[in-house]
Amino acid sequence: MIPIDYYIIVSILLFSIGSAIVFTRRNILYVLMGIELIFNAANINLVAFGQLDPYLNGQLFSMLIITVAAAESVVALAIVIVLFKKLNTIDLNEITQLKEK
Amino acid sequence: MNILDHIQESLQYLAPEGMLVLALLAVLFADMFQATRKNAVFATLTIGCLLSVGVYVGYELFDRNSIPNVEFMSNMLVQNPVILFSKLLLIISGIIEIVFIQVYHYSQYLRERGETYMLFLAILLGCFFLVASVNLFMVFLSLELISVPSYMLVASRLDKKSTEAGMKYLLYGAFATGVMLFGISLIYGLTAGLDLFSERWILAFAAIPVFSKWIVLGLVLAALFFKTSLFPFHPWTPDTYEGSSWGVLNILSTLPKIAAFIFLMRISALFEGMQSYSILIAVIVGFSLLVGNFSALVQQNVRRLMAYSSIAQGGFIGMALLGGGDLSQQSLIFYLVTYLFSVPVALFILDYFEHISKGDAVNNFKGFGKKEPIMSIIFVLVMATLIGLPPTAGFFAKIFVFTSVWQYYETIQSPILLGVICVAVAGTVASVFYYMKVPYFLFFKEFENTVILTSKHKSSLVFVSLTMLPVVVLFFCPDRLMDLLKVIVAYI
Repeated sequence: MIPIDYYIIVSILLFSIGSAIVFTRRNILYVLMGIELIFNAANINLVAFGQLDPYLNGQLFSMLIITVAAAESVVALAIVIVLFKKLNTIDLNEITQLKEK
Repeated sequence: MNILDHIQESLQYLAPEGMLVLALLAVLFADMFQATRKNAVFATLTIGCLLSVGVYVGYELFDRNSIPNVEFMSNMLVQNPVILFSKLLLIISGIIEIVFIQVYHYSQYLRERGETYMLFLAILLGCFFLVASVNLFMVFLSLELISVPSYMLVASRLDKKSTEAGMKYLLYGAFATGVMLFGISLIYGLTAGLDLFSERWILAFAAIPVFSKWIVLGLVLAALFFKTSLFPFHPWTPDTYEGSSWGVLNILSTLPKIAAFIFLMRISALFEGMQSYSILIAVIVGFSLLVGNFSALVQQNVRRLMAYSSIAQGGFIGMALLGGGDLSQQSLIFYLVTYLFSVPVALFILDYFEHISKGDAVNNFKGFGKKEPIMSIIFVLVMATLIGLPPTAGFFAKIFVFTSVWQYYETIQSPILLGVICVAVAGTVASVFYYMKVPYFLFFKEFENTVILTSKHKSSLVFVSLTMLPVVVLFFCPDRLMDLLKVIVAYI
């Protein structure tokens, strides 16, 4: 069996990469992908720890996260479509209707 | 016991949630046909459902001695008087919101769509589950049930500003959820379970090193801080407030906040006496008070002003989380009660002025005090509530919160707590200036707007004064509510 530390290293890496994408990328689709990576980092952790759980709660939880993340992406993409129709861009630097005056 | 029998037995505790789901389906059904696709039908269905749930919950609360402190649905949810009382608060605030959308003259697009009511009911359902959840699994699900409909509500005006507001709200929200999930996965690894309120879990959690406690708690509470717009997750607030309509803001700034604060209060009761938790909350609350109060000072736009004020209010309510004792819990619920009545009134009147003056800068409100005297006087009262001045219940709410924090400071003598108290006092002083900015423009500047004031909405006046009434009445008998809360909080 693969030692559990390896899973944790991978998941922490994924979490950091995801956060870096969220903070640096300015394209909304990339940001959404970064958020997806963070969700999956949590999934890896849950599945890895779930091996040791006789009730497999971690596995169940990760299935649920996948479902909810899909629902959230649907809403996100729907808003992205409306935003693109209205403003003709999905670059966060160019979306500046709302800001401090 | 057979799992099916267990579920069947649990269903009796889920009657309020069941009624909400039924109302949601009924609105969906009414929305399908031309003949019933009417504002009146939607509103009647929703308010009827809310009233019946309110009566049901009120009745259960009334004979609270017969309901045990019971966990159901495989130890996912819990039923006790505190939770019933917070459900009652949520319903009251829900009714105020639906009436707000009805009375509010300019939110035609919100009122006439069935989606608004469906999304609203979904948010309320999520709040009901959040206050009752005892498992992190359920916390995640109910937070998502609150978040996803709110993203759609914010973007629902479908113009440039509101879609941008919705997008920003969604990006911050999804990021906060992701952070919380990562924290939950670490907690699952550290304590081998997600059942927050069980004895086994608390022992397992107490055994992990302090540094890990900080990290894990900070990560898990991220989504709750996002909902209550506390410090590291506050930047969505100004943009969302500027972009969406007041009817939506009213929903966003009351329902999820009440639910999240009640849940945080239950967590504080769980971690009572654990220093690493109270220090974490103290730091976050202190920064929220700083950011909220001092950024609000320089705002010229009423929407942004209210946004920063809501961050600051979150900080003041959060102060009551520090102690974790009976007094803190009582004062937190007391503060929430005044908050849920005063915020809709403030937003409603601002919306009213904004629409007659065609602009959301404070400058546009010059001299309205003489043209709309009753509205303006009620507005001054609301602002006094939010600052914490007599003769409103806000005065006692602030006093109770400060007393509870001071008591806690006397027991543990931490310099961080003293810092929070100082920031809060400075913030209260600062809040006088920014809250009184709009009344100053209303009464002490000459009217120079070219718009002719023709709108005389009797229904608006009735709504505003009726909603404001409990806040003023509470000023004269705060001890009644505190005594009631003392009885209720004992069940936590």
